Amino acid sequence: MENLDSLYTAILKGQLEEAVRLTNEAVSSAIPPQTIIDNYMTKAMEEVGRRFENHQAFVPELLLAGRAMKGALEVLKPHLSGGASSHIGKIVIGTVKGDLHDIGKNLVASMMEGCGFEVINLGIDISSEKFIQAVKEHKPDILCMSALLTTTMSYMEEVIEALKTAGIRDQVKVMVGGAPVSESFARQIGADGYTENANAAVCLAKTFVA
Amino acid sequence: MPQSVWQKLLLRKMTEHTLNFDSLDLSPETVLLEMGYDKIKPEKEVSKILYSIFEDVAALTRPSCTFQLLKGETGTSAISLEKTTTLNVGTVIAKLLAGSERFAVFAATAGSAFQQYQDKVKEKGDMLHTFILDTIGSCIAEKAGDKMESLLEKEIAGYRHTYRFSPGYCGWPLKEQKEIFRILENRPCGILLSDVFLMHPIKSISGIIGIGNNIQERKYGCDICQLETCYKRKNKKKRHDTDK
Repeated sequence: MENLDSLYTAILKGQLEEAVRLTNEAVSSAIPPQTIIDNYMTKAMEEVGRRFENHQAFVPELLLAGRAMKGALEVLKPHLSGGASSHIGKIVIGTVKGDLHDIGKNLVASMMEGCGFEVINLGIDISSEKFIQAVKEHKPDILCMSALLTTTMSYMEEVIEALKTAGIRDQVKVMVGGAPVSESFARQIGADGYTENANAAVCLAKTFVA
Repeated sequence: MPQSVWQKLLLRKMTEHTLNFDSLDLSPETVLLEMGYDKIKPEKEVSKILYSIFEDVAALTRPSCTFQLLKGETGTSAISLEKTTTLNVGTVIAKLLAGSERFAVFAATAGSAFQQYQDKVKEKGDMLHTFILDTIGSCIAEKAGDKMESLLEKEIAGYRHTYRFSPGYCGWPLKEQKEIFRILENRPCGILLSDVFLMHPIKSISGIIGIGNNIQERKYGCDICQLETCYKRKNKKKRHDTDK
């Protein structure tokens, strides 16, 4: 088989078909799946994230790499030993009630999936009842909430209060994001984390499941 | 401009202008710049998708725009239009509109055909296509706004005008969209306002422009607004931190 560095490059450059082909070859060569993930695939995603933070890559490159990573992970899924999951954690994500914006939220969902999280995307205009129901049903590691409007961001606090009332606040980390949201706002409403872009969201989410 | 000409302009029936896509002066290169590609070139796949979508969009999109001219006065945080409508634009925008003798309330949109195309692409679930199309849509709405300004300039020849300002920015509450839409006869260019004051087609803009010879031509900017939650301020801070 070819050098696995080619797999790293394929994911970094977002070449889905090439990434899938090389992953299949690696599996045929009996290379342990966890080695492929840890030493090549994750490292490629980290590099594209670093480039994004340094303005050497932009959102489309993040999405391309995420798509290639997701495709390659699908190849590895059946080969993970001992019932191990290809997912590094589970996320429930949604745009809060009254807000119909979903591009940013879907971008985060897409990047999370690409980086190995299982994502339950609830959609837009999500009430606290629906968020609570989803947390109870799916038992995610992290609940992500998005809002694009100053008029809707305050609803995030209602959801956090509802988690407390339901007695499940300690079972899940809460991350918030969106154009008007800030670090201080996140602290003020009692969220566990805030990030200002999809790449940073993935990095923070990883620390919550480490 | 003589008062009689102004009077005629103020009384004229509001016209909706359908715009030819080619007249927007929008290119794939402009969209790339909007996505951040200035010194860095995108991956080939990104360019390929962008050019392909752009071709589809150019063939089907029919943007449009409209504006209504009104008499009015600027206060410290609000504008009174025709002595019947008050727009609570906030102190920042009121300051930028100071000196205006007349106002143009406007709307511009990428149009329903674009919205339908966007809905179809979104349904397919490919985030890269969706993101690129969303950026194209934002560019179209802004370019339609530029065309609206050109049409306005023809009508008010000889007068200066301010930049355009919209509810939701610099402390002007989003709910004031309702007043803008009432002035524009509720469904300008086919744009619908939802009960949470969002426009549909999504790629639409609306707002106000001040007209007069004593106005200051100043854009939105963090130097004139202290809103900590504004994404423009956050982006500016990020660029500043990166350049350090």
